[in-house]
Amino acid sequence: MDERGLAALVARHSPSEVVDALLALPVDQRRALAPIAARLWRAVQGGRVLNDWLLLVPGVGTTKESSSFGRRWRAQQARLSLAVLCLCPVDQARRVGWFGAGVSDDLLRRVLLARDQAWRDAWLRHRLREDFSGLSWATVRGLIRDGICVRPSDEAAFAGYLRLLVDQLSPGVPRQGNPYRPPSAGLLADPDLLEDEVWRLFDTDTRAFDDSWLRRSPRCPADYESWSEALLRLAGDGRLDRQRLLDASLAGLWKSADNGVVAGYHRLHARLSPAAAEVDVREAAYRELLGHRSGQVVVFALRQMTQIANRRSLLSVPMLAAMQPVFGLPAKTPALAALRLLRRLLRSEWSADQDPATRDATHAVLVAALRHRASEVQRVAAELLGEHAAAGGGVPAAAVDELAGEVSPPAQQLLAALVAERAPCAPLSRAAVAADAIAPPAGDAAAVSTAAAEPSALGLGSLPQRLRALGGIAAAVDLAAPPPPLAFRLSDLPQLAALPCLQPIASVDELIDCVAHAVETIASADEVERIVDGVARFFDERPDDFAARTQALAWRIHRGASADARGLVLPGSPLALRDLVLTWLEGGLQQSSLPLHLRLRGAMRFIDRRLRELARHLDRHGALVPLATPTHARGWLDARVFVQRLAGYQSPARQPLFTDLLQALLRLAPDGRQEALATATTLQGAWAPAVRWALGGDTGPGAADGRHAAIWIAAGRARCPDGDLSAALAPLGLRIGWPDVLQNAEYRWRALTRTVRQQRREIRFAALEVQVSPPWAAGRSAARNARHDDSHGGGASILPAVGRWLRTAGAAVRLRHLNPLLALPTCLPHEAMPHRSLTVGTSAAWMIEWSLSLWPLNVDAALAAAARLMVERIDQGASAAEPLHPFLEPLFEADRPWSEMGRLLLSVALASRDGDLRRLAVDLLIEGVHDGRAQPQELADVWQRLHAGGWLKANRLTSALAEVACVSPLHRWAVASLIESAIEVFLAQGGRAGAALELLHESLITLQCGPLPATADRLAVFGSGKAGSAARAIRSLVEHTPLARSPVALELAWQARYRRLQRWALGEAPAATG
Amino acid sequence: MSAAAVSYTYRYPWASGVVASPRARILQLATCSTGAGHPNFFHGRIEQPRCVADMLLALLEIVRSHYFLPRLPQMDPVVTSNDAMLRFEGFSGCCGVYVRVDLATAGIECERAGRGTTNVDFNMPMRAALMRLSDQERVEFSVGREAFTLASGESRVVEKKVRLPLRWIKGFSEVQAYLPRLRAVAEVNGAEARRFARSLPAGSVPRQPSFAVQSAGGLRLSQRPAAECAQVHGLHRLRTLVGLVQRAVGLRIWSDPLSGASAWEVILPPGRVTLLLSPATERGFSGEGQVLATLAGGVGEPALASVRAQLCWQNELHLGQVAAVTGLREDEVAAALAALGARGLAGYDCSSGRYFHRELPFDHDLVEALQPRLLAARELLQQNKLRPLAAVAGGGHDVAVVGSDVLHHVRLRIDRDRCSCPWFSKHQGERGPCKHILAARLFLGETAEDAGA
Repeated sequence: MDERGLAALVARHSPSEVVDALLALPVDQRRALAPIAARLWRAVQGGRVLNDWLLLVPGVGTTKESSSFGRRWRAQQARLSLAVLCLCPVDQARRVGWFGAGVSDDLLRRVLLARDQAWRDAWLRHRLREDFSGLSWATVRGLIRDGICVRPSDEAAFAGYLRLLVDQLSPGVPRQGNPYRPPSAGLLADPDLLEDEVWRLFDTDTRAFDDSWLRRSPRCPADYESWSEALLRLAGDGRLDRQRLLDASLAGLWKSADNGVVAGYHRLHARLSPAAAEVDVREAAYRELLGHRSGQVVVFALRQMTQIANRRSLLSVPMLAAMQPVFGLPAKTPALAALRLLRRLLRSEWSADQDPATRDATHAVLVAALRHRASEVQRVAAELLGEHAAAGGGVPAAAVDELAGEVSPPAQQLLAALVAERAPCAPLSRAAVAADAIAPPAGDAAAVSTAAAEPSALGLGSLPQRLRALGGIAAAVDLAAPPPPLAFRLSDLPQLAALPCLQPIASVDELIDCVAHAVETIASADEVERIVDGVARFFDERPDDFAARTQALAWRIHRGASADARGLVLPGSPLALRDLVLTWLEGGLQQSSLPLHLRLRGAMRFIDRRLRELARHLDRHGALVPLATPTHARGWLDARVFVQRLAGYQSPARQPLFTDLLQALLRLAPDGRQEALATATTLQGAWAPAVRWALGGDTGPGAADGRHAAIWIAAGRARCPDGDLSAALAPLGLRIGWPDVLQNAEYRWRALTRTVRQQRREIRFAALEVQVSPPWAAGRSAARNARHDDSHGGGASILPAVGRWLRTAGAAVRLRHLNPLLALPTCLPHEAMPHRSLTVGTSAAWMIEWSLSLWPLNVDAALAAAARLMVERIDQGASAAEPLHPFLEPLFEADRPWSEMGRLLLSVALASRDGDLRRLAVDLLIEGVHDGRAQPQELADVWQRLHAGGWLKANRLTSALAEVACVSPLHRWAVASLIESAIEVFLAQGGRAGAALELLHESLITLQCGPLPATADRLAVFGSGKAGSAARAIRSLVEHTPLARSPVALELAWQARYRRLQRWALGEAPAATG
Repeated sequence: MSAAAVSYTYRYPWASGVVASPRARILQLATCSTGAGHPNFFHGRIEQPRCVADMLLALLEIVRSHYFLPRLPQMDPVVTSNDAMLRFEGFSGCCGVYVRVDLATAGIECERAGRGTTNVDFNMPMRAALMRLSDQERVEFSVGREAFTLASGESRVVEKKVRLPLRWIKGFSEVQAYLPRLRAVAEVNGAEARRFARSLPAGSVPRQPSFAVQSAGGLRLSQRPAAECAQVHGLHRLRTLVGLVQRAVGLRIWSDPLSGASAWEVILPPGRVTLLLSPATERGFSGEGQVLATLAGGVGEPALASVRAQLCWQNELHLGQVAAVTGLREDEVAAALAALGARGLAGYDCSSGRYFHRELPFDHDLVEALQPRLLAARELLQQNKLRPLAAVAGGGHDVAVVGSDVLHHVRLRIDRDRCSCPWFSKHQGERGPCKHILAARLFLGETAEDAGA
């Protein structure tokens, strides 16, 4: 028989004919056909089919049994599988797999019987090792029972054998043509299984005892019997050894690392309802299980030990020794259960006058419990230690000393009281126990309070009045109250000292390297600005080997982004940047555009425009020194450097680029403006008066300055970023009612839950509605938004849209700019973004940083847009494609006040599921508390308004606050004040408010303070549970000093305020002397 | 990440586990047979069995974890025995976490039968047995000793045939380039270590790197770098710490600020567990290429040979002593040891600041022969795809290398080599040289040799 003969046999004959024909062949011919059969099998397995002319044709998509091709394909697959079994050596047979599920058992047996024993065993072993063996339990069991194959002994194959037993002896749901048969019936039909296989179920990870999913299935039959029930029934009938079953279910707990599997074992054990004698005899096994690393097993073991303890006394030392590891588990349920049992045993059986071994063991257990991560466990352990000590059990002084810095404040308080009580007999230092208790003793507190009451003690009186006013303490200082909110504006203070300088690119070599790196990945917006600046300055410098050196670079840019590139070829990055670089690399202006739906929005539109204007200029006129390149990180431009750069634009032939000048004005830092103004007096040009006005000059625009209105507006916004310029710019005769142009933007916001009906389902999602005043009403998107608003208001009309269009056209005429929006970049950040998946310009951290650098003096519009994006993703994890954390970065600048938008952004970020965002927000809150910008009451107000939206996750706020509280007593005070001020947000969680209340309680104890009476009254709603006990504990402190009068916190808060003012004073000193 | 693998068979005389003897329970680890016999290293009593079990379970957890893509790791750790220490080394399946357990054996009464390096059998039944160890019982520990339960001659051989990923072998050499660069940034006591471990996020972890920084209250995680901090990418890779620090005496944190790798050394009464985290979750150590320059011929063979001749399973290799014996300078010895580390013949212990001798139980030639970038560089050289460009002042060289679609421009300079290919552009040499730079270096070396001849 040759290849064609084999193909004909497989394609045209029945399986039995195939087997007959192949087994009849002489051995050498079978050996020769083996590789052919294997090759054919692979071809058919790859989706091909033998057609009537015995040619292999593609059969992809024909595998449905309903089609004739599909039926043929399956039949050929089964026949070829048989052919492989008949012909191939076992190594080859193992490689080609087995798809003969439709082949009858008799036929398979005939084939296997034709092979030798070793071949059969190896083949079966291999099949059982596979995830999908292709064999049925009945077939495998039959082969083994009848001695055709040996039962596999290796671990993996035997696990597969048991898997088949569990899955197929009694499938949980009736299958077509096979009525449901419970597993007990299957086991009784093959009693040999009861001798060994059943017991081996406890040695291997199987799902036999974890069938909860099946019971929930609508196809689960009414008479369904689980494996547990089957074994229980068989044990009840005496077919299985009950004692062995009890032991096996316990032993199984040690053999699996799978929670579902071990749960099945201990549940089975519990369902066997062991009698008292059966439980007693297994005391050692239960006790050993206390050392298990699964919490549920430990809880089970504790339950069993409790049963024994109900009847007779337990041996104290072994039991206590076994209990210790329980407290190493992270979960608190087993730890609390263990302490409950211990408390009971200590009260009833193990008297206080114990022998030294028991006492030491008890101490060791309680010390281990005090080390547990949950403060509740620590508190209970400390209480128990107190009870034990009171009963004469003593205190493990040295160990408690060691624990001082490790336990939570409530436990610490209990330990301190215990130590104080036991002081005469136990040599334990109070100071050591209270080492971590932040508040000093009463006498010391009084001393602190006295010192703090004197303003001169902190040196506040010696500071300049202007700085005191900016620090919010212009009037009389009350050091017995928290410092009032800071009262400075960004433009009041120098910003550059704390920021790193940007080093310009020094050579063409460096520029090539920087661009090559930026094509693949960009670390920050500063890097992009350096590249833009480098391209502009070195545009005309082309060494001889320039083309050779940049060939790979240009090719890479043209080829586009690879899967992991995050640089300037990243989809969504502004094309103007790519075009600018290609214009430099290849010569000749490059211009490309995005499809309409991907057009840039917001600040990125202006940046794109600026780069395009720069590229055009470079192509036509050659290199120049851009004005807008930042001198410092985050987009800041030193005013003195700006004026120096302008000096290069004095000739009539060399005028600044329009967008470059606008951008430079908007990036001017508050530092050194007076000095720059003095230098700028010599500047000539139509733009020079506007520059001088931006730097603080006295002469504003006149009626004749209308031609340069856009520059005057930018100058005004550089001079006064958050004020009303209507009066100052009135001579220009502009009537533009867009936000942050003539009038500064003001924000109103509310949190809400939107409901959308989709496919007959209601989908609710979190939303944040931010309204800006004066309203954004320019361009197409604004008109669309207006339509949206109108439709909600119910008054749709075409007239307002026409009016808006006319106003835009009017602005264009007055500004002499075809697109007035691009001449007024300060209003662009207000432009509404489309749905976030279409948002271009925010798909990488550097792009967000870049858009924030458009107008570093006022980022509120960007923060408002960011808050909306964050709320949309409030319940989603961190995303590399939609990073949100860079929006928080500007708020880290210590001399940038937190506006309402800043506080809103921080609050939303603290409640976000996004790990990057939330963790950065925790850092920000820590910084804010440290430098005095985070005012608990202001933040609490924001939280309460967010809470009204119905989606704020208070548990996330609590976990963030818990991290903040650990940093210092001042942070703990701020956290406690926040929780108390926004108590309604946490109480709305009901029983789950326990974590927040525990944190408040811990903080109050640490600071030796109490709640306000109103808070205590409000907490009366809780009666029981974790929240109830925490509420009671807080209410018990009501007689203590309120948080607002905490001497320690007040001292630290005032010191922080003083440090800030002192830093400001030091920063101003050179300027004053100069 | 390289998916290439070689067939490898672990052959153990029996399966590792815990067995009971009349005198004590014995935690016996089976060593992988080499040739006719199997190495027999150690037998002695351990003082805190549960603590040792915790350490070995941490090792087992890591070697069976994959922190990036879900793949089933099957690798058994490597054990090195010398007069003072038993060191178990392994990697997570993704090769992004290197773990080493150092058990000090110097002070304990034991039978130390041999020195060397081999694999040890780590299996799930052994895991179950380890979980049951408690401090209340007497436990003996043996590595490679004849199985207690088996009568002589009744061996029950355990064979594990695995596809040994090349990344596993490469990882062992790459970490030796990272470990010497680490410097200690924080050391805290056990209580603070436990507090810090509890603060590790359990749920949604950041995608951006986090930083362990020291604040007034102790260690804390931050998303912003500070002066003395350790960068961590993929906080879920630190979850093993939570279980480990329960009995910790201290925690020492090491960091390499340039690469972003960090090491977390948990100090326990019986020894130490060190986790070395790669700079990013998706970056296994195997693909880093830090040793490529060394393998490409950074250190002279004579120096390597003379230093290698001094290796005899020392727990700590003193540069001065080796230098005195070999007649080399200390920096030459250090460079030679780094090169031997890259070839799998030495390991570095950042705690002592010294190398120790161990020979990976794999074919050492594989380490060099199967480095894809090095292979590709040699192929470029073989295909004559390099062309020298104009000479550069200051001893530099420019070389053009023909790429698949474009000509790459390689600039070799004394301070730093550069290339115009995407790999170099992206990583800027942080992950080792690209194949073009390697090829150019090899090309120049050959040219110089030809000129010399």
